[in-house]
Amino acid sequence: MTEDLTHELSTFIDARYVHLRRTAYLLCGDWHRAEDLVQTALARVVVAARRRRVDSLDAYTRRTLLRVYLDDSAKVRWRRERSWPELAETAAPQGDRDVAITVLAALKALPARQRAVVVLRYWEDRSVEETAEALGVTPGTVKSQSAKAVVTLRQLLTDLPEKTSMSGGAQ
Amino acid sequence: MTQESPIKAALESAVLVAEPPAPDVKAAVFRQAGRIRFRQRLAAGVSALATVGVVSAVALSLANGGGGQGSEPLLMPAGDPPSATATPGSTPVPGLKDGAAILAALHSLVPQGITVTDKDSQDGYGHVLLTEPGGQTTLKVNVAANYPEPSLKPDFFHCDAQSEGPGVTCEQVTLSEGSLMVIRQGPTGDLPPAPGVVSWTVAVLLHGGLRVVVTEFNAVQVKAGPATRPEPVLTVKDLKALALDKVWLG
Repeated sequence: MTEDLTHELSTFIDARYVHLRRTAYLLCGDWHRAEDLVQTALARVVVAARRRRVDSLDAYTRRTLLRVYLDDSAKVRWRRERSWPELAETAAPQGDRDVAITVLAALKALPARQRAVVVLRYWEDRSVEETAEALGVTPGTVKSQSAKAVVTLRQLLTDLPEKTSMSGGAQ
Repeated sequence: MTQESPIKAALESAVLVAEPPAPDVKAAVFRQAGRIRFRQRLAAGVSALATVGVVSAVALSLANGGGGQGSEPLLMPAGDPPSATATPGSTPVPGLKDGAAILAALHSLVPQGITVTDKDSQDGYGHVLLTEPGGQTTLKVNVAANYPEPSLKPDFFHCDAQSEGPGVTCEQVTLSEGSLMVIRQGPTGDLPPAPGVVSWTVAVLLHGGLRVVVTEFNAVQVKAGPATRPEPVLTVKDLKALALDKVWLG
């Protein structure tokens, strides 16, 4: 591996790690597992980048993280169930913690692939086509999964404050 | 009104409330990448070994009139006749002898992110220090040809609870074609280490008489210590992969 590629990868990790870890956290609901998922995904990206040209580190990493998450979810269902929706110790106000717990619980209610669709579409702001490409499914599947997920979230998040409500408020 | 914004706001609220400080993961990422690449190479090597074994078996079988009797060597370049010193039914594997070549092999086999420094490598013997942020590890490799057949089960390749030193765990594995592998974890009798220093050894005796012994310690000075880290840097799985790499065939 050339020094240039090492430098490029290091810079990419520095720049994107926090966001990737947040994405992974929304997928799995546990910060420690999120860190494991991201580290595994980034390691695979490094290997791929060494072997061949990766056109877009960002897109390749996103796809790899999703694959790692979905594979891991199939293997360690028990751990996911145990870890959701606990929150780490924090100095945040109790009200905010309650909101966070409620949102995490709502995400937990979604099947893994629907959760991935929600995170890609609404957290990563990816288009239907980009989401479909990342998950390896058709745009139609993304639309239907997204619609089902939104219905579930709306049902579960109706008691939230306006800023996080599914049915009203923000723009 | 779109649904996207309130959903995004909800997701942000879930993330930002309890986000712990982000660790610096670059070194761990590159180390893990090195391990992945290492195992990919191992998989390729095992596949190549299997191919060599099948081709050799077929070649020997044909040379012997196709009778298929006796044991064919797993690792024999097709077309090479058995030497006069070989045990009947086996063909010796030459093995990687040159010290510089052994050192080069270690440089290529040790996972990325770990620095390899030569200590005292010489023909048939590699002796290096592995350095990474967790501390230094001593790694030794001995490659020797013309060892007795695995069927003779030399003591070194036979786990015996009576003769193993205290605190030593020993696992014996029979590989294809009767080749042997032994994994020992714990202080070895002939080299008592300093307190806290542990040694892990993976030894392979191939059917063609090639012996590869890979040993690592969590110390620079094995007898005098001190321990430089809780355990050696390479896992037992890494050591197995290293010991079974086709590079040692020579």
